[in-house]
Amino acid sequence: METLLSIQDLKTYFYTGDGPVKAIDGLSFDLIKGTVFGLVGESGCGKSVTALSIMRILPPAGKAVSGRIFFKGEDLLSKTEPEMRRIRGAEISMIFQEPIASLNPLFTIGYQIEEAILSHLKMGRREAKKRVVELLKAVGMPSPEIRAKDYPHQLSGGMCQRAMIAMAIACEPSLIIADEPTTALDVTIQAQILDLLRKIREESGTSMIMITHDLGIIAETADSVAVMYTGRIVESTDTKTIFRDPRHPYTRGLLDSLPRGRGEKLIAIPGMVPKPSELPEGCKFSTRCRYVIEECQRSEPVLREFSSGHWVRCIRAEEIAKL
Amino acid sequence: MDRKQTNNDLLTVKGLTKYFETRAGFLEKPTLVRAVDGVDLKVGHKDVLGLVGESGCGKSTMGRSILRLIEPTDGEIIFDSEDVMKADSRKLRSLKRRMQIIFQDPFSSLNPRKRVIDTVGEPLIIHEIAKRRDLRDRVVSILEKVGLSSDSLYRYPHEFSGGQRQRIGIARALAVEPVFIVADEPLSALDVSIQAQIINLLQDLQRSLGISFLFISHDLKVVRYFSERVAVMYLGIIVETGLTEDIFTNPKHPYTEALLSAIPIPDPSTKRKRIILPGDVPNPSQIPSGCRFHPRCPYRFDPCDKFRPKTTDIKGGHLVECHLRG
Repeated sequence: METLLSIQDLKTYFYTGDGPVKAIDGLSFDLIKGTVFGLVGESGCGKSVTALSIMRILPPAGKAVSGRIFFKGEDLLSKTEPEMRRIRGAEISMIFQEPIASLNPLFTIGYQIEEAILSHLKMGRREAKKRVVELLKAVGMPSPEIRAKDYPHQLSGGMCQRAMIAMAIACEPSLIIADEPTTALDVTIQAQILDLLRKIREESGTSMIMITHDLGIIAETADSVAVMYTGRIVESTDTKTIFRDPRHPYTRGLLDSLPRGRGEKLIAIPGMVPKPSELPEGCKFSTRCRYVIEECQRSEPVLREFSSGHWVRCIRAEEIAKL
Repeated sequence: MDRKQTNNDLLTVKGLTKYFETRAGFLEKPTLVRAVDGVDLKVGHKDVLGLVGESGCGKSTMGRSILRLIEPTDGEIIFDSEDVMKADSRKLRSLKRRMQIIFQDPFSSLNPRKRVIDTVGEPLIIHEIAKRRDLRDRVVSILEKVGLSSDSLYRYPHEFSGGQRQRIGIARALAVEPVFIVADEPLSALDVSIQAQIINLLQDLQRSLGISFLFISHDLKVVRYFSERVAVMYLGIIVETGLTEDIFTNPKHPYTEALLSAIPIPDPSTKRKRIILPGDVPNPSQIPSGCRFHPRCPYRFDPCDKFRPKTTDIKGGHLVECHLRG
């Protein structure tokens, strides 16, 4: 088992008029080569900021203030911008949530994919054009020669997402970060895109980080998963275990919130995610937790290895299954 | 037919259509978008009908047409024995006291310049339900029903989170004590943990107040949880309708089948065959001939592109429009 990406104690802050906002506060995880790592959580938990930190494309107010992001053994945070440019798109590429908004409206999709190829691979324009059509075909774009000459607005959301994926795989990266790749799409189109991502992974062995709020997508795509809450990982293990034996009250709460079948009242998590400026002392989930005890509010629990490969940030993890 | 289908249905819709004209450019000829193209449906007393379908299938247009928030092109809407289509503006206003809507986006559906007491209280004044001096108490009691405290009264929408705003939207709809509510994707803008809170709230209200719902959603899990019956919409028509359990456990229309198989299941131990439909969600300005679903249907055969299938009742009100399965 070779580790492709290893994030160690990453802290990413946003500097706002009201002082720093700790979007990510001490995040660590390892991605094993050839696997899919799922990051799941609700809006504002820091899952997208994690992706932007890895790619080093944070908005100007954001900064990875400490920690390390080892990719193939080298720390991405110590790379210069020209070095990063050689990595982005070639070694690590990203698929965004809003396919239509993430493509440049002024250029045809064919041209945009071509640029991605030409900026990383030694290839002539004519050859690159051929490659574009091949790529579009590979991602299941109908009539790829014609579609290559279309602008993003002429394509549906599903087709734009295919174009984005074609661009993402153009240089055969070792890591693809998919940030809510199907959230903006209809359910039948979502099924097509998930199927496509699965095929890419099977055929090329690309590693992936799958960022989503949908536990169903995690269950169907990820090998291992981390649940995030207020910029931290609260639980992390293989996908089967997270669904079968969740040990953090937040993970359990998310699973209980899902409607299954009919009738029974849902066990909702009370309250809402606290604002970054209003985080409680101690365990950050303590204000919404069903199992909170006095000790939880005293100091923040560490992410500890509850059982082999199963990490939980909760002092009551042992009892939780019985409560 | 259906056990709900008795003479005292609360809402009966027949042949409802809504066409829009759009132009691709200033000098272009207008094209006709058949958003809702002849829909029949019924909602009983204390009933919840779930309406599912993908974007552009006409489900929101449908919900709004029933309330005449947009003017339907044609069709018949009978609500509580009154003809909604023929109602004049005065009559319509009194009808709207009994039928309300909850919108999808709690960020854009509330007036940012109005305090909660004004948003929730306005319908009480318009419909002359409460006098100004009783308004505060009335609004407080409505807010309690949706789980908001009285210190929300004088605050503005931007001070609330998405879930709380949706509660305000629900309070506004409840204010006039309606018997029927169109809930148009009331959960899709909310996070998972907040969704569960709002589903519970809607369920409580539905049960305790006996309100009927037309529950519009693309989220099939939520629809299954909340609805008594389900109607599946595709390109402006209803292709299948029946009791929720029948639709979910025994779907007949190939589209329903594919839609159900496409939901990712939050359980890694379930393995199942997924039906992946080819092609895109089609555009309602270019409706295919024959059965509208035929270009994407894995089972299409001879008559499918030529004739539109008739609606068949398979079993006790489980209706399907399909050549193969009908």
